[in-house]
Amino acid sequence: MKQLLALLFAFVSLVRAQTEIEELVLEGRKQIEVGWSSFDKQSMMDARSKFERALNVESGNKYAVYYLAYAEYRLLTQSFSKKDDATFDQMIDGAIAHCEKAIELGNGWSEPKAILSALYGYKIAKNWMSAITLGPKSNGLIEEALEKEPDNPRVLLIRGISYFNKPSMFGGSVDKAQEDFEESVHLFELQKNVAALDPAWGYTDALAWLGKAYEQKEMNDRALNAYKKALSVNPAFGWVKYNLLPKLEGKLAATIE
Amino acid sequence: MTKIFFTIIVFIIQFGFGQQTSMITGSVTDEDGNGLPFANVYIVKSFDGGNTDEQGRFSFNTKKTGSAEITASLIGYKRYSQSVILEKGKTISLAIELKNNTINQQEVVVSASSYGSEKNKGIVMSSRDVVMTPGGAADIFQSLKTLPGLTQVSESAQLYIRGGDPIETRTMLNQGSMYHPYTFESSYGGLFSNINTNSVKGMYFSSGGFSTKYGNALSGILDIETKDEPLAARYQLGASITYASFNMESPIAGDNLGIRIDARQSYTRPMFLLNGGLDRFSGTPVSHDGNISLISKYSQTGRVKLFISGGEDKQGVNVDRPEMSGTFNGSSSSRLVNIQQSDIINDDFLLKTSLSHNRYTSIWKFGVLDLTRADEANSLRTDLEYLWSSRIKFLSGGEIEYRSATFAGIIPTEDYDIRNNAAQQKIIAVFAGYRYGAYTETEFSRILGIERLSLIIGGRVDHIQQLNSTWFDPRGGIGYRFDDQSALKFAIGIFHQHPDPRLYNPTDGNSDLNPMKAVHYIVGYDYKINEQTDLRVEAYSKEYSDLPLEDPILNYTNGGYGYARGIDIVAKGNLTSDINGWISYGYISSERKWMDDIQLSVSDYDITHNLTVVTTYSITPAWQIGTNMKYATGRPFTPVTSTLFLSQEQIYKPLYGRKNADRYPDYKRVDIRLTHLQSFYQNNFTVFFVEALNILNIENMFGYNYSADYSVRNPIKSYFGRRTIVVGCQMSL
Repeated sequence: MKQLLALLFAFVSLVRAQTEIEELVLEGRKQIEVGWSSFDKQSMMDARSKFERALNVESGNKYAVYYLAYAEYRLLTQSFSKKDDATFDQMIDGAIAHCEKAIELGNGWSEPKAILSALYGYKIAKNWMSAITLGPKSNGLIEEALEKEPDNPRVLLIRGISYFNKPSMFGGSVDKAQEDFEESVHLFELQKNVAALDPAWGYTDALAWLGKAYEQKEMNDRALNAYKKALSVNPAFGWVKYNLLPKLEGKLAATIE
Repeated sequence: MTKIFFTIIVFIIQFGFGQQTSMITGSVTDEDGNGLPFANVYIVKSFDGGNTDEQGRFSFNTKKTGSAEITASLIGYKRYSQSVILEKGKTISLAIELKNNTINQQEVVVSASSYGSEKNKGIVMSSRDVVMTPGGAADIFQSLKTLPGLTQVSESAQLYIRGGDPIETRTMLNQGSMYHPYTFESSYGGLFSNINTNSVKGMYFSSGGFSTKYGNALSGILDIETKDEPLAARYQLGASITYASFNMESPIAGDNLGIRIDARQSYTRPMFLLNGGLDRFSGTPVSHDGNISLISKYSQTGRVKLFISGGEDKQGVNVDRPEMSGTFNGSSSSRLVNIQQSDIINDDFLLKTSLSHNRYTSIWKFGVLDLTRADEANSLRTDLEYLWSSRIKFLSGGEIEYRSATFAGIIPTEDYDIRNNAAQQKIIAVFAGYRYGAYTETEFSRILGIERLSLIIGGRVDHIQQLNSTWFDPRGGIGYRFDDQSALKFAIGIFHQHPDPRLYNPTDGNSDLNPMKAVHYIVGYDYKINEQTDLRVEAYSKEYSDLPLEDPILNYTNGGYGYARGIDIVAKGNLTSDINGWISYGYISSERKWMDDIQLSVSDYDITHNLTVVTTYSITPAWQIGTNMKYATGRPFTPVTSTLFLSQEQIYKPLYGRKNADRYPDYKRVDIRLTHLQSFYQNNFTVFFVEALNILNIENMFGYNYSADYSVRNPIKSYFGRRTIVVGCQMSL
């Protein structure tokens, strides 16, 4: 009877630990989305800490490593746009290492490969001449990710962002970006029954970027719809709510006047 | 019944324990006591933890009891751990201080000057700056010459630091010594370095007051580290009208073993054909060099590097002298084998050890001159860095170096007659000896309870067995930081170096010569104008003694002395987001009594004003334009005042006036570089460049060419004494 109780105790503890890791990861994931929507560094750093604590209990948990890299990707995106070089420089190498570890733990997982490709893109944007060494790396990763998961909307989103931001002479193209964003939005809308811990971020980002691509091509009505759709999914999405949409509405109002 | 029993048991296990919690609260600060936000504080092997707020405070509950380990982590700081005993219902309060990650093996940068062993603070020049400096030909030494404290004595790549002779600067690669890091060496110095910039991970440069880590150097240090293991396979081809190059890097087995290969062939004929000047050569300078590096990362922090390089060059320069016209034929070869191991032990010890072999040989032929020189250095060196506490850093290490220098051949007896039938003497001079060196140094911060006061103090001992010569060099520095923007520093130190080995030759030198000595005094002020822009002003005095001086009986004695005093100013940073660069200015006054200068007179390296302005403007992400403007006071020279005709030799002997009484015209030069980045296909990136050296076609000179009787003199144009256009490209495959 004693042995049975001990076994039962061990089993319940294991299940409980797994559940707690999952809870912590899910909680952190939610915090990133809230933080990203409101551009709140504290919230994203809190989320990052949660993943670190999950790894403190189970160092080989691929989701905890992936979301740690994802939180850092969001923080780096924020520091890049705010020109916060100190945070960027401190975090970039760690983020790259976490992506590499997630790729390894996930046996060539496409999701962290796409993020890693975006991180190299940031490094190139900081110093365009580094494209000669990092460009092939960044391109290679995104192509590998797409080869493995051609219908992954986040991989298409990241490739689209790369097409959008790259100068045309390095292969950048708003047309290609638009195609990727449209396909990404389409795939997000088809997605059903995503497993609890699998990445689910990116739908509103894809809509926002699609709106930007439309705006670039003077397809302002379509852009307006994309932004409004993004806000209907996430009314607190600050980038669209306080930046993209008001700017476009202002531009349209000025055209009418 | 059984079901109900198990359900009750599970319920008890799940919820029956530890409902009462203990609390962990406290603060996380940096070494200056400032609260650190975003730090993650948690219990090891538990989910319990929390983040610090804006003030660095944290608080969380845990059901855990008994002994536990608390960890605090934050990017940029060392992980902190502390054991605690947790009791139900009790609160534990912690004051956690995080230390900066000071020991790391990240890319090292170049500091314009230094105090102690700091490698990652102050004004820096990145490897990108080296590659992008217009007129620098992506050459480390040529680019370094844009920093203050380096005087524009000639257009050679040799480093003349704060009035010092080039031999007073020591070059090291992966801890091993390189005594001839140049290609195309002649009596005017080497034109470029023989270190391929592609293989360099980082470097540390100091123009004075450097750490006791570096011995046997009177004026400066250039400490170069080669690249680590590559993360991915990469191939590059480069071509221009002066060189063709190939670089590859690839992991061999996973991420932990990698190989790098760099090969380069230079040829200057197309450049002289395009720009003129071909008539100056009977054989235009050509060279080839290559290196192969194997790197093994055997642990998270441990690494072994094997670096092998070799190169050869030759040139045939037409020379007109008063007594003859002819061709100076020069050739040289060099090889280097270095194996280095480095590791960080227990987060606090950085240990580096290297074994190195370097050999250089050169042959110079002109008229009667036929000289072969061989210089070999083998060294074993260990450096240890230990972070004793957040306030104390300790450095220590030792080196054994065997150096052998041989001069053999025929040299003219008189420097005014180099004709084939001139009076000559045979020399065979060999200097070989072991130097043993050891050093220790400690860096203290917050001394005497004063928050912003820091101190560095250390000493080194060197001994040369064959000369039975031992010297001790104490060095130190003190710094006070007024606020986050500005700091005042003072450094003082004694530096010794043995003279040029050929002076130890018993027949025409003196085997009892003592080492030369210099005392450095430096006062510096650093000011951070903004996040991207820094300003540094330094005043220095370098007092020389025991310099070799010609003597009618002993050939040479240690009776020479001199000084170099001046001010260096540098401002480096971003003017706008698209324009960056640096301005450096140096003022120097230097006099010496040494070698054949038997009176204290203006030094050969006394270039009163040196001004360099380097700017880079990113027109678009793909187009960049850079300029490099230089102004330097003309180099001193000793004028010929009269002649004496020697009827037996049928030659005019020049009679000189006061040493360095005259100066060549001021040196002025503007270089421009236009760079374009283009992608031709997926994964291809190609950099095209057009470089215009001396675009204003200013006729700089490095000497006079006299008529046979010295009555007429004509300026000899410098290497880049005419506008020179170079085009090329570098592409990833």
